[in-house]
Amino acid sequence: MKIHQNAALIEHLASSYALGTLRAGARRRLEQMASQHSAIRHAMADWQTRLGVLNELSTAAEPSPNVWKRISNLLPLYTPVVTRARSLFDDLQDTVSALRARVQWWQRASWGMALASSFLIAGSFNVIRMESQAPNQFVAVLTDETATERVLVTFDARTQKLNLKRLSNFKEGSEKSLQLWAIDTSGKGTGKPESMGVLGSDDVLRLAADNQKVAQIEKLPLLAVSLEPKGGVPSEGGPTGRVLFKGQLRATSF
Amino acid sequence: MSITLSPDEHLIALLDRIADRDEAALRELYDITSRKLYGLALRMVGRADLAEDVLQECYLNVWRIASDYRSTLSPPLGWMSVIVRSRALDMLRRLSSQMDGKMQSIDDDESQQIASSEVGLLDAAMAGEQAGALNNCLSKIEARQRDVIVWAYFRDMSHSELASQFNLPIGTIKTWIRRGLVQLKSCMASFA
Repeated sequence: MKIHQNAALIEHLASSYALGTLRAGARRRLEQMASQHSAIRHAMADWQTRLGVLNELSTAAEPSPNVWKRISNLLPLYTPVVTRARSLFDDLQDTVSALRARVQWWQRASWGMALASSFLIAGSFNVIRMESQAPNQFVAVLTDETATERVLVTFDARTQKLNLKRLSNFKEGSEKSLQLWAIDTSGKGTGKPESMGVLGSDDVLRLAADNQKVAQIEKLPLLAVSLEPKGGVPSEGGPTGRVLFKGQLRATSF
Repeated sequence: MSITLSPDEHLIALLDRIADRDEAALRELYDITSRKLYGLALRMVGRADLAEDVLQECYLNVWRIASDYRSTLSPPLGWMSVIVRSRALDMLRRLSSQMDGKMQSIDDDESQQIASSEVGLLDAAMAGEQAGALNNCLSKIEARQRDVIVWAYFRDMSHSELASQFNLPIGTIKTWIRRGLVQLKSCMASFA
């Protein structure tokens, strides 16, 4: 039977498609047929419009005021990536050059004492486990709204340690915590922030990354730090407080 | 002299400003539309916390893609409703794949209450002409049949899921939906 010549069947399939009761394979087959037959295409569009009006008939309800707060906090993270990435990349280049110069200085200073110097480097920066030329390193410089560098984030894929170092003397109140979030801005994921951990009051924090976090890191997300109630908030709800610092994570090797 | 904009024109003007990264316009759009869209999200996902996540994703999405709106030719609230619907369906699918049994129990808790008052929840306020016509036509369909159609649409349920939800044979569900939709189309044509 040729479906595209059977008006009643087209109507039935198109209405089931728009309602959602046409499932999986049948759904895909109809989509394929629609690409070849305008009668099917039109019937599908008519039914989608007809039933789409149902969306407008829902009773209004009052969302919690926190929803707008969360939206407002997250807006800076949803501005076009290209512009933001470019300026952050420039910042990052500067930071990387500075770090490289410091590493080279240490290497020269401890010439002949390579082992000792590597301890010194690790000891003096606490956070930086990036030996020269080592692959699988990730780095982000999180800046505040005035573009001041606030937190250096590094991740070493071999040790699976996420290291955070405060670059300024910003201290949250005793009832607050800073929480690190990752947002996949590639457009392939949900774009929802996922918690990567809560910063303690120390200047340096090392977090062991589980597989889920490693997978998130490898997507080179935008990282953000928000001000949350003491101990942080559950990942599922996203940040509830103000986003203080943010920066793009990048893969690098040096 | 001030020009009075229709509600749709006002929303479209806000979307244009949002496309230019005007945060105040997003706030205004939120103030005007969030209660309606939250109602839709709540109806679909059935839980306040999840509906709020859907709402949040919807407005962040609007912020991101407002510049695409003009090319859709849809009424602004309809366009935003489609975003909410698509996010809510994503969430329902995610939930049902993550916690099969648990999702069932959420539905069980609320199903009777929601199913019995489903049509009462339809609300033509703030809706356009077409929505008024649809509301009118739905009210002419027998209540249980109408509930099945509305549930199928908002909860993205298959025939077998509906059969189990309404405790009816799958053949009855199929017949009700088929007849209900035919009746709906013919009724709506009389409003055109």
